[in-house]
Amino acid sequence: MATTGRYLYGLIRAKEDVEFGAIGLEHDGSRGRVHTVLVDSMGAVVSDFSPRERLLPLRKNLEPHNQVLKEVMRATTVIPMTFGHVARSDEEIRKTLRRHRAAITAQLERVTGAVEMGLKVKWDVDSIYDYIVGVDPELAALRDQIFGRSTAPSANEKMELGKLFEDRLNRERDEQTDRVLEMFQQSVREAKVNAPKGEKMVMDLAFLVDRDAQKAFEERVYQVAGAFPAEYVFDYSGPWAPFHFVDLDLGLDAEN
Amino acid sequence: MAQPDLVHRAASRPRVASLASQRRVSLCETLDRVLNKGAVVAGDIVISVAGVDLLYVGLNLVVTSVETMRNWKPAETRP
Repeated sequence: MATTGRYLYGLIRAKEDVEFGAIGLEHDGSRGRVHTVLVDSMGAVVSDFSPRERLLPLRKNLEPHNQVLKEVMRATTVIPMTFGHVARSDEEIRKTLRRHRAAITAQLERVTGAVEMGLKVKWDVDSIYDYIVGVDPELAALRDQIFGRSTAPSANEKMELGKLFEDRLNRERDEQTDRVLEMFQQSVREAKVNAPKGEKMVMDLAFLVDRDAQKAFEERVYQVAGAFPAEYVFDYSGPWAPFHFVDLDLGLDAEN
Repeated sequence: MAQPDLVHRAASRPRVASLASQRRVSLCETLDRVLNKGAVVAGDIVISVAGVDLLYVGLNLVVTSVETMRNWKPAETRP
């Protein structure tokens, strides 16, 4: 028989094979049947995939990865794998799981009964420059001093102003991030801060939240948003598999 | 099949975002997690996908530069 590999979605606790249906990545013209490969009370959630097949990070491949994890999450706690892992055989999967049993168990422990929620806070303003100048008198004073004269500002002066702006923008972000983290402290298990993308993003956070506390978390988002001025927009998303709260490299060099 | 993930907005000044734009945002949220986060295997059993990192970095750059361009205001509009 030709060797069929297995695409890996995530790792769960399981003593018996669990079937999740034909919701996996496409393989041989149809959606892959998602099931588990078991060893020592651990299960890898997989579907058939040829190791020789090209696997590109396209939407049609990425979305099933996420959807499978969402489906698994309904049933049990899952450690999500990063997109793109294909094992050559079940035996290889078992060997790897066995080798990293301690680390996998610890990770599962960490995220048991929890989901990830995302929160991005943005400044809903036309010009981030004007906004920051507006909240920082010192920056405003320097701007007026440099641009308020009859002579054009020098390159050095503009650079100085630019540096101060950058500095104040980041300080504002840090202060607001600390404030938001503190306001969520009682509602979450863990928090992760990502670097903001784009000038108008104030913060990009991921929270590990008890599955049962999800509703309370959403209510908290509205409470927190209500405590901020109207320029602050709070966008939350989830539940996600706990992608941000997995610290697991199943490589050869990792400790047992 | 489960319904698509949506991003919800909690704001004191509510604004309606179109479903299309919500889906676009949620795809970014998905990409960010599925490609960048989660458990990895760096060992022998895995064929890692060459090009994932590269593609993602490329995508990230596009998103960032569009965002930057949108924020760019001509100098004379500044007081």
